[in-house]
Amino acid sequence: MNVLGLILTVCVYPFVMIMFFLLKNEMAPKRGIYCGVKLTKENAQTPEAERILADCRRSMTRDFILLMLAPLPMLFIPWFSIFFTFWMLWLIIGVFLFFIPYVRANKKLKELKKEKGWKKETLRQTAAEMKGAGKIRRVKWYQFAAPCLLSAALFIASLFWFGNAGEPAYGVMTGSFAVITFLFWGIAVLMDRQNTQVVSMDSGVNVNYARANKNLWKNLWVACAWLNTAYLAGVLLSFDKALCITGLFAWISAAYILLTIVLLIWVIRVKGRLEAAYFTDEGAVETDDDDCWLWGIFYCNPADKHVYVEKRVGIGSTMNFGTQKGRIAGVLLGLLGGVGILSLPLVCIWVILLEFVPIKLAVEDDRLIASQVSVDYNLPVNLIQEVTLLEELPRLERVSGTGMDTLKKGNYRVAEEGRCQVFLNPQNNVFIRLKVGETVYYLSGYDDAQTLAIYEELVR
Amino acid sequence: MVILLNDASDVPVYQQIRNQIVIGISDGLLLPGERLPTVRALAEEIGINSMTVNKAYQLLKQEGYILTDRRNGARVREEFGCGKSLSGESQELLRRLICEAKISGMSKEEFIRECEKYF
Repeated sequence: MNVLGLILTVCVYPFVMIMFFLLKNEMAPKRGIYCGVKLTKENAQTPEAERILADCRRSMTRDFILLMLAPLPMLFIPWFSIFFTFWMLWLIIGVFLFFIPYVRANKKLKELKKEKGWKKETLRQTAAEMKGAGKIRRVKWYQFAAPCLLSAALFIASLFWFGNAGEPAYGVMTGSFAVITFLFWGIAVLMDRQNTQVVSMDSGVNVNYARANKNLWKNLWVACAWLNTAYLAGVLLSFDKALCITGLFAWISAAYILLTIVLLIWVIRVKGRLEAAYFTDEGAVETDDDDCWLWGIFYCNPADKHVYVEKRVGIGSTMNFGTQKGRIAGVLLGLLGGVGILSLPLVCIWVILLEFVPIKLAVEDDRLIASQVSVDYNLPVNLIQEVTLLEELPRLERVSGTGMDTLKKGNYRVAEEGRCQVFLNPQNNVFIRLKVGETVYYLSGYDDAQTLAIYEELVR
Repeated sequence: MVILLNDASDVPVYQQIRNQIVIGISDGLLLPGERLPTVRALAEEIGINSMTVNKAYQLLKQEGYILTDRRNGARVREEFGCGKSLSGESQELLRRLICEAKISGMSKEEFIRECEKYF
């Protein structure tokens, strides 16, 4: 396993662990909600309900153990593409697998509730805290101004820097990260404007809970904004003078992901403590809006004008798909998620093809053709100015393109020579250096024999 | 003060808000002179149209429970008119309640005991 593999492992592993502990936590009483279904303590302690919850817990634990053990053989796989594909599949399965027993338990509990007549029509009521209306705001503009301004300044500086270096496209990357900092501010404002959750008939309790809850989220988003700004600065630092992506970039990215996970764990812990302190049976408000929740995950209540509501499962907010804004956002997010998930297998297939399809150099109709999955370079032979056979490669630093143990392809930079185009297998022993116009090419065939044959043909 | 609106009730939402605020004033959850949330803030809090809240506030103002002005918004009245009598509408409501209690077989004593629980 190389460094990239190690970073991938360290970053991906904790996400599934968090997912497991979050969903397993739903089996325990939380705000009077068990597995996304509102139940009283007495109802949840009946043998039928306890059996459903225990079955779900058991299935999740079994799946979790299998998932945690599955990557072990992968540590001995030498091929990066297989390693990468496995982790991506593992991640997708890990994210969705725990939902299968959860959704099953949710459905069974709902059926049980209906069968036993536990659902009271009188509980179909909306509770709102009058004392907190429009008053509890924790997000102030100056808390986000500094990281946002810094991000914007770094982005503008990067535009000049990359522009002067002839690489304005890198500005898109830094710009995207700058936008994310602003996005955190936007999310913080939206969450701050959420209605006060009614956890008790005592207004003091509701107001205090809302304050603590909004403070927690504000602190998280402020931390995220600063972390993102620091990452943006780190990304700029990771590009050395010659504009090459150094190993620093990978380490900074790994640190960014790990710190995000740490923040996530911190929020989950604090939120858990808050709920344990404020959601008590004493003075609790009896409401039941189970019918508005699909599997306790998706909220759809056209009678409720709130676009953002507190999640029933997990932490954070979800959208009310009964509102027009919620429906539009739902369609957009669904499309985005669908495209993301569908594109992942395609990326994996592409990486596998890159690693396993042999590269090929050929001279056909007076043109030098370098191809792998598709034609990468098609150079007229008569325009080639210099041809040199190398037995040792100079130090190549990737600017953009592919950099695997068996394949280097794309834009690279060579010390004292500048930018060049590379298409070779670094494990070969001989390579061809070409010059066409102002562009320098470093090429090789599938093996040394192919490289030598092409070299002889070019020299002739 | 927590406002509870019954989604399945036939009573209009503005009427439910009005009733809840009156209950809040009588139970001491809303103190005399206490400022009420703005129409928009309360509508956003409950997740309903601001016209509905506006209608409830207008009704409360009309009935003399709250005062509204452009500068200070809505607030609970410092002093209520001590007519020591129910309005015509409330008397009608009380009569309906007594009739329902009689039909359901409640005795006068039982009904008064029930009233004392809430008075």
